Amino acid sequence: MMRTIEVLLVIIIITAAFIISSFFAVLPQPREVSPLNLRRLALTTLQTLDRDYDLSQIVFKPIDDPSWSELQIALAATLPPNVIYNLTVYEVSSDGAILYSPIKSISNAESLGIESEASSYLVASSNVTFNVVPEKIGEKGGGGTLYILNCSDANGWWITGYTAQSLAQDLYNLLSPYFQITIMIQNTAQLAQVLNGTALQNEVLQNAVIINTFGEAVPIPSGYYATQGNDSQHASYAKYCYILGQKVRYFNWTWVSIVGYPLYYVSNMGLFTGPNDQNTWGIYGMKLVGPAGLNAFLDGLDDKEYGNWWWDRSDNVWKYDNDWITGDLDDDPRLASVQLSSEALYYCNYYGIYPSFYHTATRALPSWINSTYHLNVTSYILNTVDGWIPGAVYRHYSPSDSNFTGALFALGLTRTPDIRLTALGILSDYKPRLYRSEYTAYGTSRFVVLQLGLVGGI
Amino acid sequence: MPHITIEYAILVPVLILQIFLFPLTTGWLMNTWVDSRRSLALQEAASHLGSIMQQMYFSLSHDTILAGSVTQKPDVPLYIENNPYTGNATLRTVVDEAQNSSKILDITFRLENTGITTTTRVILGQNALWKNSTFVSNSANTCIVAEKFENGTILLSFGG
Amino acid sequence: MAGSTIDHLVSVTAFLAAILIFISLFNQILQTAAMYQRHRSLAMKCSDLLDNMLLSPGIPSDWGQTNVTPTGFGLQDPEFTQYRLSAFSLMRLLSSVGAPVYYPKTNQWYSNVTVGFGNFLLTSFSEAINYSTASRLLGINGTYGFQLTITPIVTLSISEIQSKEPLRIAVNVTGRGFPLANAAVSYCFLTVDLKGAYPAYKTTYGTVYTDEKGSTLLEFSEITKEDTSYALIAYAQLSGLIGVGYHQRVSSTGQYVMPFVDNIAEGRVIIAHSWDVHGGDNPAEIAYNATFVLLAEDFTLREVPLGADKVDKVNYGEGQPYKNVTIPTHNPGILVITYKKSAVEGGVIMMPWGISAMAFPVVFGEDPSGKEWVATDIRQVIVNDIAYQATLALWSLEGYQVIR
Repeated sequence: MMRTIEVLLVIIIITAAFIISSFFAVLPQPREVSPLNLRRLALTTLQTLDRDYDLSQIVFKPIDDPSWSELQIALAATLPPNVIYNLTVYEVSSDGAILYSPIKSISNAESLGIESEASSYLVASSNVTFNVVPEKIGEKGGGGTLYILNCSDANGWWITGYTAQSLAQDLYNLLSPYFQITIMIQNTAQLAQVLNGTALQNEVLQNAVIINTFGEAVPIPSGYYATQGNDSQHASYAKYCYILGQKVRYFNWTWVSIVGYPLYYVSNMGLFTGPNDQNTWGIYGMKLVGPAGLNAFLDGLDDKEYGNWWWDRSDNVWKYDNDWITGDLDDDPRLASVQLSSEALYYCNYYGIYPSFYHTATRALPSWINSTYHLNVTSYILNTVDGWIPGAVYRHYSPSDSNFTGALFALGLTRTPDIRLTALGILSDYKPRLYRSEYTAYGTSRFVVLQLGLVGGI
Repeated sequence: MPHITIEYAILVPVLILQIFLFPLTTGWLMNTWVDSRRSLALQEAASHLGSIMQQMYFSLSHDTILAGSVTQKPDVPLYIENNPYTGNATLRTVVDEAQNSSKILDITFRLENTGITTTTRVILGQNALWKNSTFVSNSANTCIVAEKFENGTILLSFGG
Repeated sequence: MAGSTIDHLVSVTAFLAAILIFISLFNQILQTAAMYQRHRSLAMKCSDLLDNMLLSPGIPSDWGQTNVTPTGFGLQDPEFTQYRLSAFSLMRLLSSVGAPVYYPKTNQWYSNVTVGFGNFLLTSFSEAINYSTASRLLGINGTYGFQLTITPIVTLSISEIQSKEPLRIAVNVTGRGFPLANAAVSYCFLTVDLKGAYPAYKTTYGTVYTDEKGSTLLEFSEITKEDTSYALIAYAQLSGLIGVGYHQRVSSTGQYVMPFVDNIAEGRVIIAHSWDVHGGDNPAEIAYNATFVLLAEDFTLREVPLGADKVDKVNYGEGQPYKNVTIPTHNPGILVITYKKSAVEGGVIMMPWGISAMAFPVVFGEDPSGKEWVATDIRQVIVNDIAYQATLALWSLEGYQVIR
């Protein structure tokens, strides 16, 4: 009997030990075990309220401004109902002992309790300059020069309503932030200098972009290029266009034609002074090259031999290669309007350049030139139509290696040019990034702290 | 006397057995619990470190970052129940059926003096590189270093 | 003497039994403590996993706008940093709440996110990422289960109060916790015209402000008939928060067109006849006019041309093929399709291109109900300027085990 009683005593003692240990071994509340990450919630709430710099603007307003109540409404609407908050704005100063001076506080509870978490957010005043700094093309090496033909001694065609100089200025304003250096080529003599490989302002010639603002015409320097570029046998300056193509390949330039049939005329008001030196539409200082200009240019770009002329007996004229190669999409009502490509549409938003969706392409290039001249289309600015390419960047590649050697950006649209398309096309191809930068200065920063706690539940 | 024999034959061995059994049972219970606790703590630290490394990688991988280095001091405990822990990693390439490839960083953590190990995996992109290094939790300068180069590759390593 | 032996036997038995019971009771306490530690670790894992999903664009970073299956799972918009998500990556998540829709003419199933009549987002299964793939890519396959819910912070409830002369529409703007008072509500009101061979629409715009209860009333005196079909798209904004709401009234709910997302990379959307999907009475050929609109900064809708196939007719049954339209951009917008069954029956269907264009919610993953312990975490995120809240519910798949 005693044994049983002893065992009962043992059981009583162990039970008491278990009860006492259970009393102390208190399990935490589920909310403590599995808490919300209030710090991250606070940070993301502040970021959401500052999506369009609304928070940054409000915290700099006077403390009795109605915007503060709007901020409180937005804060209450953003957070779940069981979350209590205290948002405090501090002035940031560096003139004495106190670094952060509280300015205003918004809260929906007297106290956030024992446990709360906070996140902080530094904002700059809108008085401070906000800049969007674009990545410079060529800043990672190789190029970064933009040449814009602004020759005072040449005339343009199919740029009716503008002058080459006004187009050049507009292009300068649009594109110069994206290049390491932008140079206006002021006359044909400077153009000759560049074609000779001599920099005008210590810029890098290699990999440059050259925009011909003269429409269907291209300025021709007198002297060497006028001499060498004149094919007297065929009475044509197509040889100059061929030399241009060679230079484009040699220096890996991107030659930009902003409208119409590229290289259809050459222009130099000092060189072509005769009564017949005009384009038959009243623009003097020009010589007609015709379709031979583009064909010769492409031959030069692809390092083919110059001189594939043939006599057309029916027309009684010399013709070069395939002669007229562009397509007039305006002939077919179904194809009359060409549209911006999806890539171009995307970059409209990115770079903030909004040309019209629809355009008329009367000088679209055929897609077979890609295989004939070893071209690779790297960007379509306008959608292709039935094998015709109204606007694209064509980069030349040598079959023997994978590097690009020269490029042509041709917009085969009818007059007058929309240089927003030119800018959009160049940016869509090079895709420079846009970086947002902020400048902070004394008295222009405020520190926002959002403290969050939980109520209710277990 | 027969009852005395029963008493000694049954109860004494039971008594002796209890002398060994109770401490063994208690030790087994406590070891299981302690091991479980340490293992969980190590897994938690490993998972958190892996998450930090992945976030650092993707932050640097963004196109707006050209080149640079980021050092992050991870908010993991120095000790787990008074034991430090160390970590090593290996990087391997994975190619799926559609020929899309990525890299996986296998990080193995070991709790010193216990033999408890755990492994966590971090999925990274093709441009990730790993520099052989060891994570020592109780080092004063322990950190995670991520460096992006101009060619776009990102080198990850443990620092300190 | 026998009594003493029995006494010994009983006491020993009772003692051993008591010891076993107490050992198991103490073990129970230890197991519960270990389980709570596991739950604590689950909460941290939940927070880390949510950040991994939201702060990484995935691999490749533009997988949301292509057809590839990603090799790394992430929802961040590759153009941005921080908690900004890609509207197209979210569109490619296979919804776990809507019943999938089968379209026999393509022999495919479609993930279904439908918000009321006429607002569809039906994404082909072949384009969508399913839960098991996402689990595997996150490295939690077999260890954790999850449900990711992304819901708009600002909700606009729009209801018709009076049907004509004038048409009165009530708009209530609420946040997660409270109404959004003094919010600017910019609306676009489309009325459908069924007079021609193909339907057309005209739009009017306006801006009003909500009162202290977050409500406002819109009146349209030009609506004089009850059977005039219209659609109202409203944007509410206050202090950086933007919400979207919409409401349609149609005169033909039995027969209409249904858009199916066929190829996100190419922007191809199938226009199907509803009879082929849901059946119904008195089917007829339906003429439609599709247009794509982008939200401009001043909250007007800017039209993007769709090409010649935007206007066509679609018929039902075998031998009648579906139609296609191609959306030429990967900027989020709304595909608005006005349809006409007869001179008096028609309506308008809307489909978001990019989940945020119509502030559609996203529910992705398994159902957490019935799970032993679920940890949740919340982040405020932005999807193409629309404020959303992302909630991740995470649970362990390893059951009650404490010891591996």
